[in-house]
Order: sequence, then structure tokens, then C-alpha cells
Amino acid sequence: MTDPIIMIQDVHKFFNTSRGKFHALKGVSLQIMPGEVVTVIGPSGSGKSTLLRCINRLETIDRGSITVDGIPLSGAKNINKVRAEVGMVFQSFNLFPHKTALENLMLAQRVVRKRGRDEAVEKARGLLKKVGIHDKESSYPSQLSGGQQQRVAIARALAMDPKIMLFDEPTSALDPEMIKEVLDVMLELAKEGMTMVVVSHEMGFARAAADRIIIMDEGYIVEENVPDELFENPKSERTKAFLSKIIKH
Amino acid sequence: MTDNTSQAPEEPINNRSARLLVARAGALPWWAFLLALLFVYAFIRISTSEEYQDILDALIDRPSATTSDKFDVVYEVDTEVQVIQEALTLRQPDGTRVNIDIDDVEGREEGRLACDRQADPDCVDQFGQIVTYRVPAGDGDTPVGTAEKRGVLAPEGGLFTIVNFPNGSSIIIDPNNITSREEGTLLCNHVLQPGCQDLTGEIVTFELPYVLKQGLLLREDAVIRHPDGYVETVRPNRLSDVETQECTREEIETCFGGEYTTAIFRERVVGTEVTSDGENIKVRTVNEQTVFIPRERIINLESGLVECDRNANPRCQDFQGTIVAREGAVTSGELSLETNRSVSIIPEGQTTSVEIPKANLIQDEEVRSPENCRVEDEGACFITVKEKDSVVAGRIIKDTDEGITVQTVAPVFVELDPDEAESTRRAPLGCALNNIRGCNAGIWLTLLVTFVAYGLALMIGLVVGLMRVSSNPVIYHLSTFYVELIRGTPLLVLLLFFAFVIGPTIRDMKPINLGLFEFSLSGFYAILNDIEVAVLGEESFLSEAVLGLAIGYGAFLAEVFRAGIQSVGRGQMEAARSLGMSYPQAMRHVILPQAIRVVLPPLGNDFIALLKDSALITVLALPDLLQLGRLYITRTFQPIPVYLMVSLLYVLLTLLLSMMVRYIEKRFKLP
Repeated sequence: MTDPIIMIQDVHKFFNTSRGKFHALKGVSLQIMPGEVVTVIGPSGSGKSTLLRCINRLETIDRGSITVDGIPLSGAKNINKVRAEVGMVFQSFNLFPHKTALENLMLAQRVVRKRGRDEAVEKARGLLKKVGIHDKESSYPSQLSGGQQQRVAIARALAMDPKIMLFDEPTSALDPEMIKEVLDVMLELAKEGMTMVVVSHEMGFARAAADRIIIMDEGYIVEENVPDELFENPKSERTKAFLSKIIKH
Repeated sequence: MTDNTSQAPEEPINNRSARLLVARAGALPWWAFLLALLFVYAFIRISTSEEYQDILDALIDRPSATTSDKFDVVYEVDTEVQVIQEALTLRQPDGTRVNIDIDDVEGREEGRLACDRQADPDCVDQFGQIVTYRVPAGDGDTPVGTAEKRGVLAPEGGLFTIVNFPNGSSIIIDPNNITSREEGTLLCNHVLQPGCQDLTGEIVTFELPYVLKQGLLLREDAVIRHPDGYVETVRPNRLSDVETQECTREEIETCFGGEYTTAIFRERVVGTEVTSDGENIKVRTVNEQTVFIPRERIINLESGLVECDRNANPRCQDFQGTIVAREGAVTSGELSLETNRSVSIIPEGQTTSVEIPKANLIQDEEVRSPENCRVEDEGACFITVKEKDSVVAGRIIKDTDEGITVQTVAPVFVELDPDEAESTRRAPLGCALNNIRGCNAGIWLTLLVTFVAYGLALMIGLVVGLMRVSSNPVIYHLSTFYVELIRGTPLLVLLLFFAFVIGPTIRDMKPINLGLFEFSLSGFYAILNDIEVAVLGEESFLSEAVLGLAIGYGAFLAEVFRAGIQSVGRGQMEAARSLGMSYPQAMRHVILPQAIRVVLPPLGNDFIALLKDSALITVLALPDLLQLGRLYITRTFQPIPVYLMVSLLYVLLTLLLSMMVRYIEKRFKLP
């Protein structure tokens, strides 16, 4: 039995708003094993994105503990080292607009991993080829379609050789015809055995690739199960209501 | 661009480039044509009018094609000098001035000198350094203490006991105050007073009762004597390691009053290197006085030895030069002033008067109309005078068709041991194509100040801008304080503040002892001073002006940078951080490159605004474009063409710079 790569224990998170404190996570506990693909779904405002961002400490937590790859985040002296091992893909891509696709992939390799120029270029070219846009390496983000941008963003995260990949609604800002090209890349990645935590409403992907689905609502984990079981036989009323809504569409 | 566009329509439209030009011209807004027309008009005026050409020449520092006088060598030498006298000039409450010896100073403090309202009801209190000093008590004064003095007793022969001092003064004392008597000689300071005489007789030491008075410090001087005999007056704060020892005339010739005070003086020798024999370097430091002699007045011209007056300056040397005999000039015009020594005449067709010493005039050839008229008479008194023939000895430094210019004062030579020189550098001379460093006034100074101040302002702005987005409250509030303070101060006030408050404060700052090391900014001031001398050839407010402009604009640029950084989406920082970059790395590689592209247009705007605001340094008497124009007006009383020219040059500069800014914006534009 291997140790879980991500351990989340009784995590609470508050946001300061103008109307006081908003309790975003209310004691969430979760364990993710190496190589596992976990999809988190839930209505908006349920805390799923917050949970994801807490895993690489883009958000700090107020109570509880998160341990990634054996390092507790709360006491981590060098959070940058942890972050380098955890790739993240954003809903709005967040590519660096002043750099070409190739340079986007090279920057963090050079600055954080201290790789040589040639090594970084080779790695970047290989990854661009893997996500299928090697012919666009000298294009700037503004010259790429949404799907292409998101694939560059995935390649950029992969260039750091992360042990874990976090996806924060990677397809929700895309046109329907571009969603597939991104999901294909993600499926490929899942097949290779990458540990992935995906916040998404793509049920197709969840069914095809996820080892486990987690349903969140109002800061709690409502239900977690393997996909088939969860879709066929949801236990809680909240899950049923939610699933009926998204499957209707 | 302007000349081309206005001429374009006249050209035949048969080649491609001309067609392109017309197409371009058609795309220009209407005011561009107006501007072009204005420039063409200005161009024609300048090229046809000698007056305008001369103004332009003056504003660009009168450049020449080549010059052989490229630079002066500047040596800084620490010399051991003898301090002969330290004296203060004070203003007394009644407004009169008094010179006092440093020995009589009792105390100094910053404060207010109350004026004598009974004597003058309208008088105003003065603020500054108040010096308390001792004055011998007179009748009716209640002495506050006694000071010990030495003098020679005057021969007995009256009711009073009179004591003489070697400096020529004497005082009546109470014989009861004498503490000791001896026979001997009191030496006088013949360096300071060449005609003084040593006093021999009965030397008495006596107690002199004194009262205290107060005065406002006006100036402080030290008279020093160099080893080669050269005497000069300097500021006491330029002296270091001041040491006083007892001495006798046998040991040291310049031992006065039994004391010998030495100090280290940092001397700055500026001049042209003439000879160097390996050990010593001889530097010619010319204190120029030139005389122009029209060709028709030259009687005879021969080469000969020009003798210098060593009594006036021990550093001068005879030299082989030219001796010019000149015919006395005839001056006629309206008499404006007549004294026992000289007459002042306003020559016909001129507005300023010339003063001619009566000793130079041939009295028999003086003609007045009306006859024997005087200045006091009603109506104008016209006079024609002829000067005696005279001889001018010196070096011919300029020879033209109209006449020759002779430098009369012998150049002063200073011999230096190069090993003793603390620093050596070169100060620029005339502006010429082969001596660009000499182009340091007018439009060049405006450009220099603008570029340097803007460079510094960019650095300040970037650092403060980054501080303004910091999450650390100390850093954030510190930077906000700076921005609000500076932004709320008029730039003109800031410049004056730097020149007259911060500059002198730093210069006179005493080292602050911080335990392990001493901290003082006066070294920093000295470095800035050296830079000023290297650029302008003299100490000036240049560094204060540049720093004032830089710090003033730094506040504006900080806000520009802050806005630029905040305009970059939060996602960019998150993406960079999620890849493992630290905050500084993310700033440098991701946020700033984007922010700078956003802020390029406002940065360019501020650059042009700074160029125009650089005209404010005129108030610090720096010879920038505007200042040279103003000086030209004071000479010629022609404000209209000069201000037209000054404005035109500023517009031209801003147009060129805005083109440069636009080019840079284009270069950095993202697809």
C-alpha cells in the first residue's frame, strides 16, 4: 500500500467579503493516491475551485492541513518547490501574452528548473508536438484559438515535469468544437498514469477517465464514488438533483 | 518631414515615391500643414536673418568645427598650508557689519537676532546662526569676564596706560589688570599686513574685561598661505587637520605672535598642462583678462619679455610674449559722471557708458561743448577726450582683420608633484565637433538634464511603483508617503528646496557615528560636485537640479508603474506562481514585461513633460536653453526674436522626442 500523494484533512477556508466572512470550505477531507484521476463536480459556489487552489496554496487555508507529496503546505518553507511539482491549468488559460508558445513553455524551465537553453527548447518542442500544435511554436497566444491556447497551457504545466496536475474547469471557456481537442490531451495524460485532479462538468471525460468522482456542495463533500456507480446509483438527494440538472442539458 | 510635405504637391506625380508622399500628406491632419507652414516660415526667417542665426548659435553653445583647446586638466591636491587668520563677518542688531577674530567667539547657535526697535521702528528680526563674541568693556559696562591678552606698553607720558598691538590697534587699560611684564619683541603678521612693523619694548600680559555681544553670521573666512607664498581666502570648512603649535621666528619665518597654525587644504588646480619633467607637472591656470586693440590703433608690435607682478601673485611667472604700443583712443559722447579720478562717457549711438581714468587722458586735448560744462549743468554736456598712448604686454590669443586680442595678465603657473594629486580629471572647454564634451550649455544641457533626470526617475518610479503594490504595510505606506509628499509639492519649490536646503545640509553634514562605522553624506556631495565640475567645468546646482527633477518625476512615474502593474490580470501572477516562480521572478519575467508595454504611452508623455519642465532649472542659474536665451536678452534687449527661437527649439525637441517615443511604442507592440 503506497501513501496518498495528496492528503487533505478537515480543511476550512474563509473569504473576507464586504458582508463579513464567507465560509467556503467546511471541513473537507480527501485523499488522492498516486496515479489517480479525480474529478470534482458541483454547482457554482460549492467550493470546488477553492479546494483545487488550496492544493498548491494559491489560497491559504484557515484550519486543517494539506500534505502534498509528503510536504505539509502550511509549514512549507519553500512553497515554490511544491508548486513546481504541481502543474495547474486555468479556466482562462493565463498564457503569458508577451511570449510565443515555445517561450511560454521555456520560461519556467529556465527560471525555476535552471535548465539550459537547448534542453528547454527540446523539452518544449516535444511537449508542443505531444499536444498537437508543434507548427504554432512561434505564434503568440493572441494568434491561437482557445483550444490551442489551453493545450499550450497544459504543455506549459507539463514542461515542469510535475507529479500532479490540477485542472480548474479547463474547458468551460471554450467553444464546443474546441473542447474535444483539449479533452483528448487530458485523456492521453490520464492514460499515462498522471495524478490528476479535475474540476469539470464534462461528464464524458469523467466517465471515460476518472477513477473517482467527488460531488461538492456548499463547502462540503456530499458524495464520492467510482463514476459508474455514482451516475447509476447516486446515494444522496443533493447528488441526484445536481446530476438530473446537468444531464438534462 | 515638415518641409517635404509642404512642397510635395508641386512635384510632378510621375514617380512612385512622390505619389507615396502625396498619399502620406493627404492622410495628415490639417494642423500638420499649419505646423509645416510655420516651420517653413521659421526656416526662411532663420536662414535669411543674421540676427536669428546669431540667437540660434548662442542657444546651441556656439559650436565650432574644431578646437585645439579641448580640455583643462584638473588636479586635486592636499596641500599643507599655514592658516594666518580666521575671521567672521557679523551683522549687528543695528544693521552695521563687524569683523571679528575667531578667538573672540564665545558661542554659536541657530536663532533669531532681535533688532534695535528704538533706533529703527521698521526693522525686522533676522534668523540664522547667531554668534556671541567678546568686546572689551567700555565705561559703564558691567564686564562678564576677563580675557588674557599680550601687547606692548606705549611710552609713559599721560594719564592713561596705553597698550599697542602689532596689528596697529591700541587700547587703554587699567594698570591694575597687568599680570606680568617683560622686555621683548612682539612680531606682526606681515603676510596679512605687508606694511606692519614689529613692536619692541615692554611686553605686558593683562586681563581685559569684556562684555558679550551678539551678531548674525554673514560669512566666515580663513586666510591661508601656500608653501610657495601664495595667499588666498577660503571657506574654513575646506580645511582639515587644523593644528596650532608654539613657535619662534628663528625656527619658522612665518611665526606670528608665537603661534603657527597649519591645516590640510584640498586645492583644485584647473588649467592646461604645459611642462612635465617627470617629477613635477606645471599647470597654467589662466585668470584671463583680455584687451581688444583695433588694428588702426596699433603703433608698434614687438615680441619681448612680459614681466609679471610677483607682489600681486607669487605664482605668476615672466613669459615671452608680445608688447603692443597702441595709440590712445578718442572717445566722444555725452558726459554722464565725473569724479576726481575718472570720467564716464556715453559714446554716441550707444546706451551704456564707458569709464576712463583721468590719469590716462591727455588734458590739453579735452573738448567740451558747451565750453567747460559739467554733469550738473542743465542740458547735455558733450565731451571728446583722447587717451595717452599706452603699452599692452601679453599674449596674442586672437588675431582678426579688425584687430588683435591680447591676454594681459600673466598666466599663473602651479607646480605639482603628480604623486600628490588625489584625483585628476579633465574639464571640457569649448564646444566643437572634435570636442563634444565641451558642448554643455544651451540645448545640450537641456537634453542632458532631461535624459539623466528621466533615467533616474524611471528607476525611482519602478522601485516605488513596485513598493506601492507590495503587501508589506511598512513598504506600502512608506512609498505612498513619498508619492503623496512629492506629488503635492510644486516642481519649482522642489528644485529650490534641493538647491538651497538639502544640498547645503548634506555638504555641511558632520559624520554621524553609528558605533562600528561613521556615516556621512558629505562624501556623496563631494562626488556629485566632482561630476558637476567634470560636466560644466565648475561647481553648480546641476546635480541638485537633476536630483530634484528625478525625485519629482519619480513620484509621477511610480503611479504610472503601479497602474501598469495592476492592469496585468491576477491570473498572470497566479499562473507564474503555480509554475513555481518566486514573487520577484514572476514580477520580472511575467508581470513587468507586460506592464511596461501598457505604460509606454504615459511614460512617453511624462518624458516630454519633463523636457519642458527642465526649463525650471533656469532658476538655479544653470545655462540651459532658456537661461542662455535670457542672458542673450540681457545683452541685446531683444526679447521677441529670442523667445520665439527658444519656443521653436523646445517644440522641435518635443516633436523629435515624441517621434522617438512613438517608434519605441511600435517596436514593443505585441501582435
